[in-house]
Amino acid sequence: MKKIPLKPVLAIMTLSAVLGQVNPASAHDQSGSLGKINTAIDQYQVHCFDDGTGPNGYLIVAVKDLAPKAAPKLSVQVIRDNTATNTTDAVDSDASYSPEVSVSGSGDQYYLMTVDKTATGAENYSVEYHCMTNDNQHTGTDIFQLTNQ
Amino acid sequence: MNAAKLQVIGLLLWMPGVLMAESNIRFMSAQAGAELHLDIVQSPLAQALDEIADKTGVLIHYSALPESVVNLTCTGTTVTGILKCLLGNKAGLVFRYAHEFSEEDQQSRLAEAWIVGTHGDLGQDAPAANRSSLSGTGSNAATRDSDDTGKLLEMATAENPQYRADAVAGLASRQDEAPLVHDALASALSDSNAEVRAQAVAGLAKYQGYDASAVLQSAMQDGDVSVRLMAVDSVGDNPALLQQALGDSDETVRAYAATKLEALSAQ
Repeated sequence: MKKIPLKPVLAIMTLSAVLGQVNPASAHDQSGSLGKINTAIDQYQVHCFDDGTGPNGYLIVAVKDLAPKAAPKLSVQVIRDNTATNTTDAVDSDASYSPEVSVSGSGDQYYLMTVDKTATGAENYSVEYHCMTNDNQHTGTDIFQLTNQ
Repeated sequence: MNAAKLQVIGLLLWMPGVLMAESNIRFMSAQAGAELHLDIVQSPLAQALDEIADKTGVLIHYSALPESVVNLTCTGTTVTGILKCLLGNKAGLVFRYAHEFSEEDQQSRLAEAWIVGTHGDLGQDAPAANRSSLSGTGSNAATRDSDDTGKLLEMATAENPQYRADAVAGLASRQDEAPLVHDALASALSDSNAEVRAQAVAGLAKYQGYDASAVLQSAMQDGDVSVRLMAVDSVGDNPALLQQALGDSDETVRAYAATKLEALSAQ
């Protein structure tokens, strides 16, 4: 990973109640692993679209740091246009995901999702992602991996 | 939020960032070696060039350009490739690379570009092979620019291991350039650098029409945990290979193999 100057991150918003309204049968999760170098990242393109349920209103995302317990902390960032939002799983190898974050979209929308870690050491993760309509219905969701490290 | 994470965000927001200065022009890229995407909808060519220059830091010089609006999507792994896609064969291009970098660095150190001798409508009839959709999956989203493939093949033998890893990752998406690409990926399996080997494993695992079982089985014996982890990551629905990984010396590899086996059995 190249070293570049930092820029301020603009967080959009965070929701915490939406998951309860999501139909479990429509849930999407992506498991993966990050190699031992500290700069290893995995990147995905998430495509939210109207599958008949309605147009995309927002994407909600959370990450879970899977076993075994290791030093690095896992995070996922979602970027759309000129804003990025981040969530981190503070506890490794427990049953819980990180707090959910939500990124607004409109209609047919592409989001860039990046999973990274804070230190050297191989890590396993699971990312949960849901494309939602503005009335909180799960809608069309595709994912494509761009970078695998 | 720690520095490493902010750097990732900064990287993605800055030059290789998803930024939409104008609502009808989108230029998106990931890190070196992965895809650059340019989407233009009903916008003047000059505006698109300014957007590319602004986001990449490459100085782009032009004088008279056609005033007609452009509708185009381009993908590539270099700014050079994006410019060639954008302008097609209707303009001459002159490139200057940063003089302090060596030949093998040139494709990632473009410093300045001049657009000369433009004629006709630009951007309307860019080669169809360069057109791509952000909804493409797998190799369908990669540019067919053979110059870029050539540069990636060169970069795959660079001295810098990061360049080699980036190049191998980039080659993995060029499925239609076989057998040169396949040979390069196969050669990278024995690279001295673990990150290069890992990218080669991932690339061959998703190579269309190629049975990578033997590659994955061999990679699971690699001395580096990153390579073994990538092998597990690249296993599809082959429980036998995942079972093999359950006996790995590293707990992370074993845990990931177990997770994938559990997911397979739940299907």
